[in-house]
Amino acid sequence: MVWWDCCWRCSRRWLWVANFSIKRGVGMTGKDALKRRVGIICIGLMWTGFAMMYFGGVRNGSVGWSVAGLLAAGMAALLILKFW
Amino acid sequence: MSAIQVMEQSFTLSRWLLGLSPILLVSVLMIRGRWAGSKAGALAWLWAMVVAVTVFGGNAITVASGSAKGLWETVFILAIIWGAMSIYGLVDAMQGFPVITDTFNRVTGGDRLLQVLVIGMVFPAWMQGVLGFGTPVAVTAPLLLGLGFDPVISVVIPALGHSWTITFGSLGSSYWVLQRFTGLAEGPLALWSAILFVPMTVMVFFFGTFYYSRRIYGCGWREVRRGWFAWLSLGLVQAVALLVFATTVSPSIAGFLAGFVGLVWGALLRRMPFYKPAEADSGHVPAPPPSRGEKSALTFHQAFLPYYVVIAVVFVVYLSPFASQLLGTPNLRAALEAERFRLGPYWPEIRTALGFVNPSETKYSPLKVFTMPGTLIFASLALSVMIYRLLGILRADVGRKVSARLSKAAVPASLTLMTLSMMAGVMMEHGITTLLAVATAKATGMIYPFFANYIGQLGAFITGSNTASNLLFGAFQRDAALVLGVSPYLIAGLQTVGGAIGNIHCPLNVVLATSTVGIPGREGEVISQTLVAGLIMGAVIGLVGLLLALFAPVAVGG
Repeated sequence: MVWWDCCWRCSRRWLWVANFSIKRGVGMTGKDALKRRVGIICIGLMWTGFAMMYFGGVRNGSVGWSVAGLLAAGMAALLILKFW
Repeated sequence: MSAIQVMEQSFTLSRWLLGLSPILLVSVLMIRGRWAGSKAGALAWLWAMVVAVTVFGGNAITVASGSAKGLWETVFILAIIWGAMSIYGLVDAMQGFPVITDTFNRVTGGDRLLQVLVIGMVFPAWMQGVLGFGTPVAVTAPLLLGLGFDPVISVVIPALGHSWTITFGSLGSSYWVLQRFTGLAEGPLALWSAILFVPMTVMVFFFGTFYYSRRIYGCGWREVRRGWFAWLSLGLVQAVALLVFATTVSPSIAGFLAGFVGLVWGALLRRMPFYKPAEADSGHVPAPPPSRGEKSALTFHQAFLPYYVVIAVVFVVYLSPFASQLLGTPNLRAALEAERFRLGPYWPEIRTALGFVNPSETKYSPLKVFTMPGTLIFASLALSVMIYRLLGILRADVGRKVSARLSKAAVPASLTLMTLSMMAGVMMEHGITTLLAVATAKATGMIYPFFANYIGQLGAFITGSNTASNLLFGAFQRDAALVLGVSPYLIAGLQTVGGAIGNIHCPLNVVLATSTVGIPGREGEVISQTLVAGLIMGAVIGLVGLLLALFAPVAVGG
């Protein structure tokens, strides 16, 4: 599996988790729910990034996987900056 | 070449300034800009990566390694946060807080200052004696909130209160790391560290009283004057107890024993002639928590049950080695901490272009799965639910309420921890923290003892741990002392006191507490209070250290 494919699959999975979590809702307002949804996606992206950075980058010494992991976590950081 | 030598050779003013910039950025954004910790942490992490790559010889792999290390470290802390939130959620869902509040009000005669000092400060310090890792703050803050204090006070007070037992708390983990990494003799190191904790302990109780008074009455000195005997005697009695126990019994349980002495003293305070009880006024005193409709049918002990269970579980596990030595009972902790129960990823050697080397580790920062605080808290939660069920008083909607509270508060807290921890990981991986410490020692020369505790504070501010701060800078502080001709015992003592003070204002610990009282995003408000206290305490401790180094060098082992 190449890194971008892995990224795409993980993002979809985390989006599903976020959706599920919001549907279970606990009476949050629209803005809170959005922040929470973005937050869950960010947490997912960061741990996806961790997996790429550690297993692909650090353990295997692959620059490509390191960059992919940093991009995933970096995307999460940008989402936090935009929505929080 | 050692890591310190590498960073000594790499030192330039621009590197120092840029190395400091991620910390300044996160501090300014959170304190002045009132940004949420997650947002400030995200920006600081991105900036730390830019600095690491452009100035500190980093590349994609070193930056990824630092970030991944940071993320790994959060597993340990997140388990504590989620556990503490769940315990609070359970007591709340059982409608236990009104009962606890009524009882504490009765016991303390409704004296809010005594509640602040004994429940808010002595109790977490005693708990820190055994558990630590920020858990006492996470457990105590919701208790204060339940007593009707506002959320910011509920965080600031235990953050201050638990700090003086950190070095000799957690069964002495911070102290033993310092001792092991400096190679200094146990006796003098414990003695001089404990001596330096005397002024700090008194100041901690002063600042706790001052802050509470200013927040409630708008005048810090009001309660400081009225309750002078309470805060001064609590500070002195516990500081002296810490000194005595650390030097005569064991540094491992000195914090726990001194905290226990504090609890006894606190219980007797109301009857002491010098203590002036609160007047039965006043519009300023925080109101008791609002009733939530249905009256609770619990007794105090039933309401407090989850906290009893936490304390019991922690003590059974963490004190089992001592019980084993004294009574011959099985050493539960050793069995649960066997090598096969320690989970940690293999980490290869990582080297930056500047030559800063992070050695390989077969298990990086391993999690002791069965004895880590998060596990013990979740085990306590499960036990509490079982006991409630056996007693037939478990409410039907408890599970839903606890999970709703957890899912609501866990996301912002987790994001803050993860981003700040990644920033810290990147800084440590590239030797940025080491360079900052080396630069301070070089720039200050003979007045270095004044600044030594600030290096300890820096380490704790970044890592969120006195132990990690001692691990990072312990050997460096010893070397700096030897080069400057100052007693290494004194400087090592200043390092660990600084590490303890750093715990008061480090974002990672503050997030731990703000998330448990439902004010995630207001970390800056808390840090703006605790940072001032930390810097002032650091100045006083630094002055004491400087005077000892200048006028009593022989007495401190020089």
